[in-house]
Amino acid sequence: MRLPRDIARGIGCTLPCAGILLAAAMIALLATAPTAQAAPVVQPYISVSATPASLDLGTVPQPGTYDSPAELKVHVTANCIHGGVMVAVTPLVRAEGGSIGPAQVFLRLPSTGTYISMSSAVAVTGPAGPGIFDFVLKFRVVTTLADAAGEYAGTLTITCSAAP
Amino acid sequence: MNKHGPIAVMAGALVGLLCAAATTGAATSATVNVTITVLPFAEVRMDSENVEVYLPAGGGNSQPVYVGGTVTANCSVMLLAEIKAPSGAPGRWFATPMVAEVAHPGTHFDRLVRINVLDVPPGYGGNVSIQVFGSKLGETPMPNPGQVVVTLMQN
Repeated sequence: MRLPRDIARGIGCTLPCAGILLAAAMIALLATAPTAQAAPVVQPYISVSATPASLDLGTVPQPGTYDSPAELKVHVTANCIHGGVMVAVTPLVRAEGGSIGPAQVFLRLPSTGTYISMSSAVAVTGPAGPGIFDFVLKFRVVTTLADAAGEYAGTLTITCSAAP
Repeated sequence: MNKHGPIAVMAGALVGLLCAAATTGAATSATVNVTITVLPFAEVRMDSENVEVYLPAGGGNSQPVYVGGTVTANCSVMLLAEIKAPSGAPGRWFATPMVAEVAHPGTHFDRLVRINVLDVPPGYGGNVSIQVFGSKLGETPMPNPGQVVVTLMQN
């Protein structure tokens, strides 16, 4: 029997490379293996996209409540029942030091128009069936004098998971 | 085959399987980069809105009068004072910030501004408005100045 090293040497690649090729061969074998029942299966599919990819919330003129004019358009497609859309934000960090915490960022629920603190992930929609969903998110930021002047940056994550 | 050979093969196989798993199924999340800008802000509040400056008998130069106040800011600011004297007011009026720079928000100063009046002739009385601004170095004064009205008194 030829050792993996010999095989790898034979095809002119490294051992990890040979491993990857081995995995690919295993997957191809499984994919082409005849099954007892050949009924077609439609895999669950969920897709989430947001526009724009970079969102400038604007300029806070003074400490207090600031309603950003920026809008984030979210597009969700699913061919299965999903558990709803969740939105979370990381701390908005200032390069020179300091941050605006998620609890200071508020998300306006498209359904009610009320603002919810993003101290933890916010459920924007409840569970829903297959279909296409479009909605617009808006944000409010509450700052204090302790939030130093400057530019802050963070990341929003919009998640949609299949229903359990 | 050396002793690391099987480990390398298994690691490669694992990487291959992980890559295959990652390419099946649909993306269920999206990430968006978020930015926001907080502008410099400063607010000055004087302890007194009105102060009286006494001239010595026969006019002349006043003793300095100090007015305290609180500076709140979300950045380091310089203090500027601006005097609005009535048109034709005699003499010279000085309002000098006693604090060169405020580095921390919400700071109270017992002596924020010093006021002096020079060369005012006898018999003159009037009001002079002084505004104290926070300003970033080299930039225009910010809004929300503290204000003091000075009433000139003759002994």
